[in-house]
Amino acid sequence: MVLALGLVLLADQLLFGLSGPWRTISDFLPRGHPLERGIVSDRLALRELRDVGAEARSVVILGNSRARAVFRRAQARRVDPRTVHIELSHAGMDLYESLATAYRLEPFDVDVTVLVLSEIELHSPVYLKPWAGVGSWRALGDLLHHLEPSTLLERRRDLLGLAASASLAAYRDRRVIHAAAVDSWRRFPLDRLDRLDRPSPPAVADALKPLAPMPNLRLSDAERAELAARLAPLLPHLPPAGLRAQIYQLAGVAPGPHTRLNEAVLLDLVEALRGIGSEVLLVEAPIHPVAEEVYDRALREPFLDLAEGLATREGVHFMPLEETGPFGPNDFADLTHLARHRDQAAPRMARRIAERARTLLDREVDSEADETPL
Amino acid sequence: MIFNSLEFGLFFGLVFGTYWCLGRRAQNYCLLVASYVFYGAWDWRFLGLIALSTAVDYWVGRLLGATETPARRKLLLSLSLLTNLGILGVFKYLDWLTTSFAELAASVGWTVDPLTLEVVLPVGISFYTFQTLSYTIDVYRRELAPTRNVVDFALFVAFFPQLVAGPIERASRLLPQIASRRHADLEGFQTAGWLILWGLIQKVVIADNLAAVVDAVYAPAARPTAAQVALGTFAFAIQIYCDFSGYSKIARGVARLLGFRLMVNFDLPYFSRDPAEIWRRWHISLSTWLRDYVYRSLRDRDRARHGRRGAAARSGRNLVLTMLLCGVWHGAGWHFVVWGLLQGLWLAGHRAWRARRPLWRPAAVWARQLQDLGRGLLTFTIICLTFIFFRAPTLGQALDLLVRLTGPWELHSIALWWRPLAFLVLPLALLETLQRITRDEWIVLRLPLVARAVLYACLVMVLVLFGEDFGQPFIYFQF
Repeated sequence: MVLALGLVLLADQLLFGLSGPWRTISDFLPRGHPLERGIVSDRLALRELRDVGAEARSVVILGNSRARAVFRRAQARRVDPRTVHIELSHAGMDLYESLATAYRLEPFDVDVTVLVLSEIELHSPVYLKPWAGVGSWRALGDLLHHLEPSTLLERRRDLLGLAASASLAAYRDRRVIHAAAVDSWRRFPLDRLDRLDRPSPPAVADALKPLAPMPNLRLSDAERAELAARLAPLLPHLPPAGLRAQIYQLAGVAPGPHTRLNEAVLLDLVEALRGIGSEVLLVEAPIHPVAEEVYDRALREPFLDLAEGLATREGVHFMPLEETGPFGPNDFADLTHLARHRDQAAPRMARRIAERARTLLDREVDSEADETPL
Repeated sequence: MIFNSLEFGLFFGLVFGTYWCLGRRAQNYCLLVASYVFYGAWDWRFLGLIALSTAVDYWVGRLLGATETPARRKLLLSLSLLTNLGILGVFKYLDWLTTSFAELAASVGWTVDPLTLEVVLPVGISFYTFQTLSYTIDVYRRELAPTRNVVDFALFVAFFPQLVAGPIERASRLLPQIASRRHADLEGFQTAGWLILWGLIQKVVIADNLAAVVDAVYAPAARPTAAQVALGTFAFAIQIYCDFSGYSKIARGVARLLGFRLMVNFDLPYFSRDPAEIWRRWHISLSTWLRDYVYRSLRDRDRARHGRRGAAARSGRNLVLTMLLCGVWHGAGWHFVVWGLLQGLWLAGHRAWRARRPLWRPAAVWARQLQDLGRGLLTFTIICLTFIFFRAPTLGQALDLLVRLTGPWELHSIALWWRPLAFLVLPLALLETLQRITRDEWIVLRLPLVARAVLYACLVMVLVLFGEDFGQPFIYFQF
């Protein structure tokens, strides 16, 4: 059993470590799996970071799909060709996962880390996902340190899942492996059995129907109709189900005990990054103007206060929307993401982030030069 | 808390570590507390039922040991039967019986509002009820001396590795183990490791993956083709076997890690060549319970009343009655009744047929093997057909699926099912065939150390990568 356990850990490292066959897995991943594709792309990015020479300057962009939407590597390279820009961002990456990723950056030489966040990430409930991109016992330890005993008991199954995923990459990455290979192999095609009385695909207008029972959203019929009219232009870009999911997600943005937990994890994240000698640039992620109807935009204030506090206490550099905007409705692909491949907002924002990162890098070089005893 | 969950892993790690640091007496207290925590994790309120059952049977056992008066002994036994079967009846069968009565009344134009409790069925109630009943009946029959130690008895009733889905242990086997000192031994741990690992593979990889196709074929609104019904039912036969025998293996393994030996509950049942053999190999703890406490009681009563006259016919009737009870034990539903009835008729019919025409065996070995193969395939096919009544949620749907089997087969509708089925079933078939040929359950443990380690490592990776989400409940929990 002990020998078998050793073999399992060895195989786990060989197959799912940084040197694992991620390129091949990436080739096998079908479209329509943004999360899994993002996780694999992060592995490849980490490998790229590992291969960056010690002399090269590196900037890491860390965050969820909103970070992915605001950053374009090509733009950044144009602004600062001497620096390697690495994106470690995928759909659904929350602050805990970012913290785990930050610990994973320890062996590498990262000069600047860009965190792309807003009040949405600060006030969203914490989802403890065992299939998160990377696992880390240290991140789990930090999380346990911040949790109330009652929450520990209540979320024990999720926490055990995180512990398992921190111990065994095969467990953590099985979702990716399933999407890449296992699902197509083991699935029983049930098309003919699906001759059940299946409802017809929902009409576009149906996407807005679930607005009524949502706990944090109290709209009158007139307000709902107005919101529906304002959201309508988004529907060609976003399937009704996706829009519905986003509305639900935004309706869940509210202060609560999770806000304190998110703050604590964000502080750990900044400390972890500062601990590896990286400058931290916190960039406020933009949001579609219509989203103001779905949640209370006054929640931005606590986020700005937090960012200011981090800037004062931890030396974090902060770029609020006022520095990267303005953003109009046409700049967005949906309620929370900038349109990555059209319009001008995303390239503009990527450029500004890269410029600010370059300034930080240059300042670092200057200060190093100042320290030279010649 | 179920075996295939990380939560159980943590729970058992704590219990295991504490248990082996304690002396024998303290070990029993530790196991009793752990068993109540394990059961209470589902719903702590149902602990009261276990406590009631334990208290009644402990005192009935003590009083039976202290009295010789037949009438009084019968009264005490009746008290135990009424309490245990009463609890089982109220929680498991009351709603079904009253609803069925109301439906029957409605069919003759009489409107009755059925009395229903609408409570969740306490998990494992059928298992621990039968286990504790076996103790009282054994003491009544003077086949077992009553225990004086209430903690030992409470642990016998609630021992967590087998509390919720068996094996239904006999007091004569488990109580002496509880009362004596257990020893940690390397061989036992190795055996336990294999049992737990293979049990998890059976449950999490094979059974839970097959559930996708079974659930689809048996969905209430599904309209499967004949080929889909056939393959879905075959998949169910494998699913329920892997689900339940996987649970039993994990239970044996967990108990073995604590120094206990639980009985074998499944002995390669799908290699059986006739219905009697099936029931000697499938859910052995239940079939032997029914044999010892129901079938033999009926037989002894018949012998006392009628002697040997008409024994064959009465034996057939008793078999049908026993299997009817077996069907009802599995669940409150008419489809279970029909399933039990079919099993009984099959057993009784087979026995009567064999009594008239003893099995002819060819002389050549290869011919005998071929004959066994044919008999095995026929037996397995009949099992699968009866499983339609077991798995279908209603009697009506079971009949509908049987009718569908007579329709056009449309083999193309299952053309893409072979690959996943083969992937899931072939490793199981390979191992069990090897076990059958060598007549050695522990064939894997006889592999060289390195080969075994490589096999275990591969199985762990398969478990992690191919297993359905951990935490899927076992099918037999609902019984």
